Order: sequence, then structure tokens, then C-alpha cells
Amino acid sequence: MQLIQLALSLLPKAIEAAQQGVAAWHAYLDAQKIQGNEDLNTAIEALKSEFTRHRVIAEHEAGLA
Amino acid sequence: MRSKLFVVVVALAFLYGCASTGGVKKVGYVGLTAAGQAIWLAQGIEPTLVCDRAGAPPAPACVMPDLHHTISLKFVEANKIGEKASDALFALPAEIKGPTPEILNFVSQIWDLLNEIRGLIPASAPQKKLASQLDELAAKK
Repeated sequence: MQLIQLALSLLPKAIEAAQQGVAAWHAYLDAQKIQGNEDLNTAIEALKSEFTRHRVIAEHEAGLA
Repeated sequence: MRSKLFVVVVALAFLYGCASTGGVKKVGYVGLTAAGQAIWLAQGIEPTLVCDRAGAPPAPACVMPDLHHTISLKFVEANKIGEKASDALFALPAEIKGPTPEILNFVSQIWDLLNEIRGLIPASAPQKKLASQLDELAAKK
């Protein structure tokens, strides 16, 4: 019972901290001009291309390419 | 006890916040982007530390060619995981709710590889700068 009361007393501050965290993520994404799912998928495809490009560079450095 | 409970409540509230705003996929994207930036940062600096290359520190602070080969293979692996993670993230529906263990697992694997690479690079001024920059990116996880 005491644990539940303690959790409830912490909840407002926890929600505030979580909202700030969510806001920070969204601010970061807004800066990247990503909004809808299509934008997000386009960004994910671009991210994958970067992983591929850097994999090829690493393969060259490793003497695999 | 109080601080541990606070962390648990914050984590639950954060997941609720993500799920309620449909932001789980976006959060996965941000985490994967931070991991990618960390890989590419290290991948850009490490070759400049290879012994006998221009600008490399003198031995024993430089990276020996055999070690550079080992590290490069780890970069290959990390980028392959990033490609797989991108595919998995792309396939997620926009309205996905709750945590996505598969994506978290991929991101975690990339950071584990980066930590291995960090441990392999000999101590030097550029290595310390790289470690500091990686710590900053890790804070975005």
C-alpha cells in the first residue's frame, strides 16, 4: 500500500520528465523535418543507404572488396 | 528505493507517452540514427590512426595493420546490423504501439560492437577525443 502511495506521489514528476523526453525526441525529429509516415520511411531508406555506403567502405578497408 | 521506483515510473510514463503519440517508430529511428552516427564517426577517425599513415600517432599509440583489419571487420558487421535494423524499422506500421524489442536489440548490438572497437584502439589524443564524442552520441540512445 505504501509502495502504491509512493508511486502515485512520484507520478506527476515522472510524467513531466517523460513529457520532456518525448518533447526532446520530437524536437529532434522536427529539426530533421520528418512528419508523416512517408517522410519517416524516406528517412529510414536514406539511413539504410548510409549504412550500406559505410559497409562498402569498411569492406574496402578490411580488404574484402 | 525511492530513486529506483522513480526511474521505473519515468520509464513506464515514457513508453506510455511514445505509444499514445504513435512515436515508437520515430523513437526507433532516432536511436538507430544515433548508433549510425557513432559508427560512422569512429569509422572516419580509426583509419587515420593506422601506423605509417599520414597524421597517425607514433607507435605504440597507432593502430597496427592487423588490428585495423580486425576493427574494419567489426565496422562491416555493425553496418550490416544497421541495414537489417533499417529494414525492420521500415516494415513497422506507423501506428505501432509499445516497445519494439527487435529494433532495440539491433541498436544494442551496434553499441556493443562500438564498445569492443573502443577497447581495441590504443590510447592517444585522437582516441580520447573520439571516445568523448561517442559518449555524447550514446547519450541520445
